[in-house]
Formats: sequence, C-alpha cells, structure tokens
Amino acid sequence: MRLPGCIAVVQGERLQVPECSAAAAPCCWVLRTARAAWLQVEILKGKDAGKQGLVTQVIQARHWIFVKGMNVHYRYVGNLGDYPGMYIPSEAPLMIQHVTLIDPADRKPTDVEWRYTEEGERVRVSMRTGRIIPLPEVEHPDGVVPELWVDGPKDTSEDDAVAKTYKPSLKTFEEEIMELMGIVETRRARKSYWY
Amino acid sequence: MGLLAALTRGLVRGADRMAEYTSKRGSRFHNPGRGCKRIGFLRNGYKFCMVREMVPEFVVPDLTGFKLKPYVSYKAPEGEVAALTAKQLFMDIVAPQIEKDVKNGIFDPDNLEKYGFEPTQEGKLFQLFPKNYVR
Repeated sequence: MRLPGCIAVVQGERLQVPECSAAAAPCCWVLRTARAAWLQVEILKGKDAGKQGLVTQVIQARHWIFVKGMNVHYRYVGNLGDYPGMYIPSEAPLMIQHVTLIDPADRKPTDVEWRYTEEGERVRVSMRTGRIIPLPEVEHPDGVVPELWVDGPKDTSEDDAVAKTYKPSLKTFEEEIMELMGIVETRRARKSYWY
Repeated sequence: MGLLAALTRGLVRGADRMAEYTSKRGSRFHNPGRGCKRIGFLRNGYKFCMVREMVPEFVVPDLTGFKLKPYVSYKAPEGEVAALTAKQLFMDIVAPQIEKDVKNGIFDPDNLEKYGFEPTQEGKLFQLFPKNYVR
C-alpha cells in the first residue's frame, strides 16, 4: 500500500526519489515548499498545462505539490457489497519543476528570484515586472484566527501576558518566597560530598 | 472485533516485551515500586521511619488578585525575553549602588558584602554553588 509521502520498499529495492535537477533547484527554493500551501501556481506540464490553481498540499520529501482540481483522475470510493462506490475526482501530485509562481500584477507565470528589500527582509521578486510576491499566510493548526479569538475564563488576557512585572533582585526564588510567607529556617543540612 | 484482531495479530508470536514492568506483574512478593522518591528510612527490624523533611510540601503564597491564568490568549504576540545573565543582574542592581557610593566618596573595596557579595556559600540555606536546591 503506497501512501503519499512514504518511501516504498519493494522486495529489497528502494524507491528512488528523483533529485531536483540543477536547473529546477532555484525553483524549489523559490516555492519554499513547506509554506507553499494555499499559493496560486500555474501548471506547466501534464494534462492541465497552462491552467492556474491553488496549492492544497505539499509533500516536501518527494517534491510533490497537489493543486486543487488539477491533474485529476477519477476513481470509485467507498464500495460495499453491491454498491460500486462514489465516483470522485482525485488529484495526482505534480512535481515542483512542472509548476511556477504567478505574478499577482498581471496573473501570468513568471520566473522568481529571492532578493533583499531595503529593510533587510528576504522576499521573492518577479523577474518580469519586479513585483514582490508575498509569502502565503501560515494558518494556525487549530484553525484559530487570532483576531477573532474570544478569551475564555482560563485564558490570560493579552495585556497581562505581555506585561513585564519582573523586579530583578539578588535573592533566589526560594529565598523570596520564604521572606514573603514569613518562613524562618535556622537548621542547615548536614555536609555531604559527591564526586 | 477490529481491535482484538489487531492486538492478536501483534502479540501472537509472544509476550509484549516493550510493556512497562509494574508491581502488578511478577510474584505477589516482588515489589519493584512505582518510582517514588524516598520519604524516610528503614531502622532495625525493617521498621520504617518517615522523616517529615523528606516529604515534599507545596509552599504557595496567597493568589487572590493574581492575573496570570493557566492558558495564554491567542491574541498575545510572540516575543523574546533576553536571557537573564549574571552580568545583567549586576548591572541592574549592584552597579548603580557602587556608582552612587563612588560619587559620594564612601566606596570601600574591602566591604563588598553590603552590595550582596558572598565570599563563601557555607552556612547558607540555598547555596548557589554547589547547587543544593531542586529548581
């Protein structure tokens, strides 16, 4: 059973993950596959060549990209007894080399380069128009949108969490607590040695 | 049925060697314990003496009006706090005092104890080196 993303071991052979060729290597870094999810890309090769789509999933180990609704084949799913199953389209993965970024200015595919802005920020710049292609927003794994979050009873509010209330002192934490609580300890531990 | 089949499939060739060895296994006289720290000692005749000081006790100050709660809101931004170093502590606390004394002309290099200098850790309850407290 081959799951996407696992390296199949078939009777002693090891599946060779194709290395990104030197010509396509800039393309790999350009897409920065770990953050390419939810990015608009144009497909260059395959049966959907020339179409634009949204990246839904990225498998970095095999340089795979799944584009929503593109490069689909059809299959039956959920067959049980007499019921043949539901006929659904499922996307096949595309290699990074067969996909490029889209310039947001004119919605056409471009070559992209990593450059530094005047502030020192590393950004992707389209070679044709010079427009910066921003990195897509990384979604929270819980699906939480921080701007719309409402604090619960056990949540520290933003101001309390950020407020700096530390007063530097030469006492250790334990000594401070003893002073606060009025604990007096005059006994001392017996001297012990360790090597 | 699925769970049992999976279990039997996994353990059909022998016992589970990776299972934790607890006091529920072995003979009824074999007591390996559950990993607790000692709270006393055995005296003559295998009688157990509990030492009150070895039993951990939580010392918690009064928390009324305490604003921090178990969880942090998602709205709070991620930030970095500079690591607390000995140099930073010195510059924050001791250096201003020394500066003031030098300006007033009463700085005495032989009397550094008044700024918090500790020549030895002997006689202290919480020694910094060698560290004799858990935290």
